[in-house]
Amino acid sequence: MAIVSVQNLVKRYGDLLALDHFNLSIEEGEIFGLLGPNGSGKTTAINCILQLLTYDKGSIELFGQPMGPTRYDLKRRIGIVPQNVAVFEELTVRENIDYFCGLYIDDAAERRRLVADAIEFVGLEDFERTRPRKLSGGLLRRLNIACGIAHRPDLAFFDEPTVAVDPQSRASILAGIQAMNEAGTTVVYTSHYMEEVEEVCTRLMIMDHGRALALGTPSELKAESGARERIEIDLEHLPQAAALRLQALPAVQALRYEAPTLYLTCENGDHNTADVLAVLAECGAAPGRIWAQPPTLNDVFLEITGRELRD
Amino acid sequence: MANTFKYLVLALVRDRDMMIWSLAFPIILSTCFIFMFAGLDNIGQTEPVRTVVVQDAAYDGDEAFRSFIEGISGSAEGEEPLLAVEFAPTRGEATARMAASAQDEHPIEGVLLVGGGGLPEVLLNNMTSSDDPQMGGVYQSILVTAADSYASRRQLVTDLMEDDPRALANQAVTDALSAVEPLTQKVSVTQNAPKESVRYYFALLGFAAVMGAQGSLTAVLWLLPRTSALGARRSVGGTSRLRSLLGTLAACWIVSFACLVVAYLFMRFVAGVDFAGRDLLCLAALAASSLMATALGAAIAVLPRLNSNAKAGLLTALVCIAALFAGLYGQPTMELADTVAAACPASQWVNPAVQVSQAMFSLMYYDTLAPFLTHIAVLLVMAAVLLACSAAALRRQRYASL
Repeated sequence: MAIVSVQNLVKRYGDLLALDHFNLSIEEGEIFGLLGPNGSGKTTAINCILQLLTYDKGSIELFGQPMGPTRYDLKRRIGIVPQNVAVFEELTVRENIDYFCGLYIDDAAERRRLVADAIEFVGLEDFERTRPRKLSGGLLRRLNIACGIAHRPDLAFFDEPTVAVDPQSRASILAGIQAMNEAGTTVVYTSHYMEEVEEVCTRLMIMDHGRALALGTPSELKAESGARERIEIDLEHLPQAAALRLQALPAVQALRYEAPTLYLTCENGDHNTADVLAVLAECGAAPGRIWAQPPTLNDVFLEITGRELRD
Repeated sequence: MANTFKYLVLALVRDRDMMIWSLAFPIILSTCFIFMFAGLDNIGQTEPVRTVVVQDAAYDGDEAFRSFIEGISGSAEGEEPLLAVEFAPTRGEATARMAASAQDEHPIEGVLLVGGGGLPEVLLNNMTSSDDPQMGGVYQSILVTAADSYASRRQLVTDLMEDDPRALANQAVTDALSAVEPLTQKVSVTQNAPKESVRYYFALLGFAAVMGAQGSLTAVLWLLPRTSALGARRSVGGTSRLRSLLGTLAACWIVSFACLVVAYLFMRFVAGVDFAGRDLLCLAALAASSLMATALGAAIAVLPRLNSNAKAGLLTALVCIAALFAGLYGQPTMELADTVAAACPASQWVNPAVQVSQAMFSLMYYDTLAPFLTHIAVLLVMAAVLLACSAAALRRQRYASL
């Protein structure tokens, strides 16, 4: 069943078309990555889904039901971890989590249990009575997450939750998201960190200018994109025959030799490096260090959205 | 709603700006007033006039003068005596004692003695150094008037003895001669005696009440999606907008009311300000005042096209101007406030600080509650209008942009 279904969503800011007949369908149990450059419409799409923003056209359904600003029954099933840390500076860690959990759960006893679980989940047991201003950036992000998921939502939106956190905190946050997903929460995840998305997302969408440009699993997107595999080989000397035979290989698209390194750009394939090394061996060239980089999600992203700078 | 209320109360109580301006500042200013106005309320009140009576042979031989001195220096029930009499055996010692007292806080104002022909003589102290020179003059006038009164009565008795001695056998005549009947009756037109300093305290209470808007300004900014990430986050939660709003405004009201009550209790029991014993009505006035302040803060918070700092600055400016026309900043501003009130009474009716202080004045000085209830009604109308103005923005669920 589609947990999130967005059809032909149009959102304008004056003359700017922020969402251009945007469509989105997220299945139950997914960790869905929503990728795009700054200003591509990711946050606008999420805010429209959450009914914080008005929109000009389109329909939004959550859990198979039409979403509206007063659908608190649906909102109670959603968790939100915003990009900017949104907590009360005046309340302690425990009080903040309890407050936000209270937006969804009325029963105080149940809330106590959920808050304790959330604190344990994000590893803030030693900071329960600490005010946010005394927390490090990573701890603050973890508090932000705990506030968003303490009520155990069926659907959780994570909007760039790992911005400006250290590698340890990032690893902890990603592990937590995966654990939540395994416990039954469907996750919508936005980030600029491609390696994160590749690590946690089961499916993703790349969007730009308010439109979906690509949709699929990370492997599918890499396979379908025009992104190239890059191979670098240290060689004392590149025989002329070897150069000619390498250029003749079907996967090789470009070859450049700047002694002592040979640079090759190949179509994405499973055995490009083996083919190249076989040719070199047959031609009597002895390779030294070999470095091969299959196309990454980052390459796919740049291939799809372009390399020009954004705001 | 209860959860929102609970944590908003906690957050506001821990908000430094709120506590400084709504709680600490009125107490600090009240403390300053205690020292500044310590002598203000005593102006116009007299102490018994310190006087030396020469207790010589003439004094001992003049029974009428002795009776006069005993009467005027003894205290009737509930009243201060007119003279504080000391005795000296000779005129020289009396004048020496008077001179020596010139540096005292309450110097001896004069010497009374029986002079030639049995008439009293008064020697006034020309070197008095009373804290208030004007009062020194008043004290000496009292002394002279008392002596003159005695002399005129004595002359009347002497004349009667010469012209109609039989009249003195009439009990009614002798009673009239010996009685000291006041010629005027003291009537207070107000419930309590006016004190100069209370106006400052009431103006301060008005200032503190309006400053309570700081709490709702902060709390409503925490609620609005366009002014903070926290507001945006709370707006997409699973609690209805109305419940969040009611919880937030109720928390603001109760915190602002609590701050006012603390300031009131400080004024009442530490500064010793008299609220005419109408404490419950004072608390009702403070409740209405804090409701008005809550509405004012909410209305400023929802103003469009102003950032949070500009809104905070606007509130501070409003509070300062309101307090100015309530007369908080001293005598010149009180005169200015009185001039403005006379020229444009409407300006006072729309000034919440003035309404709060006037409500307190009404309780203190009027027997009837009508003026007090009028001011409370004005405060409640202000609250209703301000809440209505901000309602549209506060109940909004979705925005065209953030």
